[in-house]
Amino acid sequence: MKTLLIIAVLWGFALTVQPDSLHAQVREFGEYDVKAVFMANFFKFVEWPSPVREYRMCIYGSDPFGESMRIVEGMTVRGRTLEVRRPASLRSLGDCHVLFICSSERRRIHTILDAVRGMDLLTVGDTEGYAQEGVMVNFYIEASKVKFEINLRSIQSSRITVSSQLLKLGRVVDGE
Amino acid sequence: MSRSRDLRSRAMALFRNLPLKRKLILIHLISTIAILAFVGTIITVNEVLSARKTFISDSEGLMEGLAKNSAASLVFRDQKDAEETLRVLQAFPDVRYAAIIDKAGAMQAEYRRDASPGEIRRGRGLGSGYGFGLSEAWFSRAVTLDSERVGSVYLLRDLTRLYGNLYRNIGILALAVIASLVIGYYLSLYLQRMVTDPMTRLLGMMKTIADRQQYELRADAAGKDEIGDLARGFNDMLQKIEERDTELTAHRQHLAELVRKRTEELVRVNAELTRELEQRERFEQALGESEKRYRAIFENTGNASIIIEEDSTISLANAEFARLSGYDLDEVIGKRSWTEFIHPDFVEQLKEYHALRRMSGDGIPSGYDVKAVDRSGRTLEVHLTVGLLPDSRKTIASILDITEWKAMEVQLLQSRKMEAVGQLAAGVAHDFNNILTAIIGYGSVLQMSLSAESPERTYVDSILHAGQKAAALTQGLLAFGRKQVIAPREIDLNDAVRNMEGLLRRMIGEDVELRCRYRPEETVVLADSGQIGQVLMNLATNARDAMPGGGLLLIETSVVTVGRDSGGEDAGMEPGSYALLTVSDSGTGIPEEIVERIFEPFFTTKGVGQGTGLGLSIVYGIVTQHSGHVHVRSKPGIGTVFSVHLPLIKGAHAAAVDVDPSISTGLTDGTETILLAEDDEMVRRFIGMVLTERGYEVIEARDGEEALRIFEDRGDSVDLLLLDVVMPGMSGKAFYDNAERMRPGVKAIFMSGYTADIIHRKGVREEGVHFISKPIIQQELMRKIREVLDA
Repeated sequence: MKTLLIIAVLWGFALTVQPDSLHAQVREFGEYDVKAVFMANFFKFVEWPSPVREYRMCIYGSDPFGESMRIVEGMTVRGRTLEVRRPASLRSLGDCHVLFICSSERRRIHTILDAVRGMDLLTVGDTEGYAQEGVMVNFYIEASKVKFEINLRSIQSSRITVSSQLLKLGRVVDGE
Repeated sequence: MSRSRDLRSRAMALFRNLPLKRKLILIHLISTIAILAFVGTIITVNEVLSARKTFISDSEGLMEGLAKNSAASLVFRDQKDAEETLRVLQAFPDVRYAAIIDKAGAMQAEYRRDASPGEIRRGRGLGSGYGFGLSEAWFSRAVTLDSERVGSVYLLRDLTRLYGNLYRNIGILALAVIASLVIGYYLSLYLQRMVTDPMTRLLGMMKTIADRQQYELRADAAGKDEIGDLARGFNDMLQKIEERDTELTAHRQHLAELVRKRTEELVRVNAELTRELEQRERFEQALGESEKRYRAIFENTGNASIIIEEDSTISLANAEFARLSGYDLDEVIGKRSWTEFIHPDFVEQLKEYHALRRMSGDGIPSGYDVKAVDRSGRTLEVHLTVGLLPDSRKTIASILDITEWKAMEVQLLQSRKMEAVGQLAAGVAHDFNNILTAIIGYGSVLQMSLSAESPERTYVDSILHAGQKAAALTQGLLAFGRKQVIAPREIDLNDAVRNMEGLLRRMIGEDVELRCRYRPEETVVLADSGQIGQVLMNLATNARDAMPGGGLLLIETSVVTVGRDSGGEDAGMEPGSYALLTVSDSGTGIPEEIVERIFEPFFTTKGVGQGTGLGLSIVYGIVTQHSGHVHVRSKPGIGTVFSVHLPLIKGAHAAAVDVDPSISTGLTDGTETILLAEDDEMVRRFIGMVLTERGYEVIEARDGEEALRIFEDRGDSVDLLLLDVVMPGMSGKAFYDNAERMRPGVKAIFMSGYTADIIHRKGVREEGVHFISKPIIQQELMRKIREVLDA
């Protein structure tokens, strides 16, 4: 009985003590830190048609992430190393798996989307209206939280598969 | 521990005494219960375990789904989605609470079935696991994505339903058990008959056989089982018993015959024994009576008697012994040795006798005088008579207390000695008196014939003086020898002493104080007051001489009663009342060793010329002559007490002091005729001359015969007989007896210094018979003659 009591007490103690270090780190996170992590996590819910050796995440346009990408750069996702690239031209987008299209490319969005069509890319943005334009996943801020909307038609028209898990999290929009 | 064992043994005992039927049922029921309990337990445990297992796997499935569905919402921090995921749980009514918690431990979403918060934080932040409480169980599972933990889900399920199911199942099981027990009981009730019925039958038959001795009965031995075997064995046994019974009957008859014979013999022997016993009883009774008889003799001999064991212990003693020794019998019997009662001087000798008597008994006196010691340490003179008890090593001793006898013996010896000395003295004095009568008589004649101026007169006076002194000495001797003629009368001892008081006072001198204490009542004794005076004089003289430096002389009169058993001073005295005259002085006292001798004549402690040595002898003689006793007690340095006991005469009135008879001092005293018988010529002639001178007519006779002749011739003219008692031939007394016959009442005066015969025969003077002691003093003779003639 006594032993049981002690175990119960220790058990309770273990349960109540919370490691707050992670929490502290999160608080320092900025908007783009979150977006970077979210993007890294997209790899876990998305399947590409061709075999992948290493995941490549490409940022096109004027990079808003700054230092934030360092958090995810080089991390291992599903047994593969995550690389971050910043291609200069549309031609060098061919070996990217996730493409973040910056707000700077607002005017050229159609051109870019047309260019990557058929390239099995998960297109991501954080500019209002992008989803309606045809970007697959577009971040937006709601109640100070990072959310995303999903253009299901874009995803269905590509050859990549996105987990329903991810899909049910996003706000589905219609569009091109 | 011993309690449980005690209980078990009691239960076993209870079980052992149950009938077989009950036993079988009980065994069956116990077995059934045991099996059912075992199976029931297994089923129940299995039920519980499988229910739990199902519950857990259910829950784990649920958890897995939750984890899967919540992974994305956790990664992308979508609370709404997480809550959406949990909402699925509404389909599970026993889920009370669920939570999705992110990697950092922050609550992502919560689900509550009702308002109760419960222990909602339990398991948060944990990996995978579950736990069961009393009414709920919790499950926790890590949510992993790409083998990375992204958070966890937590679930709390209500167990009430699970347990409800469980209870229901167990209840059904219990009902089934009870039902099977009841069925089992009735089944065993029916089935046990298969075993018990043959047994009961067998038992009933056994009882019948035992009760009625019907050994010809046989049991039904149809079965081939153990009971059948038993019945067959029983039948075999019956067969044998039947055979043996027949045999036994024969034996019994034989035995009965034997017993009858033995009994007859026993009765005969018993009768013989009874007769013997009766004989012995009679013998013992006789023995008891004998024992009682001898016991009574032992107790009542009057002598102290004891029986002594071989080891000297006294094993029996009688009451007289207790009285003599001063011990209680209880203190003596079996506890003390006879040696404790014997004076140490005699113990060794007696021990020797004791030992010798046991060996041979020859030469050992059967009686001897020894000294014994009583409890107070007083020495007793005893005479022991000792004998061996026949056929034993015990001795019987009879103890006679002879202390008093011994004392009397000593006294008697003393008296005899005194008597002898007295006779000697008296014998001498008798002749001496005759001589003195002549000397004094003729001296007196010579003195009268001389004129006062004659120069020879002084010589005659000296002769007479010396003669008087010699006469006094002779008187003393006679007094001691109790040969004095006394004239006892009833007198008051007080008066006798009182008359002497003045004289005594003068005699003892001024240095000695005389104190007299008289008994207030008259103290009458039969005594010669002159003699009593003599006694007082002598004792006072003695006392004075014992107190040269002065002191106290105390004379007392009193009365004492002497009992039969009195000892000490009174020993040897006739019982009765005595007048006691004590003369005490505070003088030097008399040494113990000579106390016994002080009454002997011529025994004196005084220097030559200081005393005659006759004083106390005279006292002794006078007192003894008065049928009295004189004793002396003395302590050197303190004083001496003389006690004179004289027989007390009661109720008589004593005459006053002797009236001094008037002595006629005229020239002629009388003219009467006096017949004088005296064998001593000198004395006869002297007396004759004196009497003639005083005017009497005197007829002289030389002896008794002559006197008788004269008296026969002219007895009528004789007025008085003056007779010497002791004469050759017819004594004065014999003559007097003849004369008295011829002329009764004839007056007579006996003269003698030796009057024992007369005194002893008569004790007191007869009427008309008078005495005068020799030497004859002229004046006294004249006075006596006148006294008798005038009477």
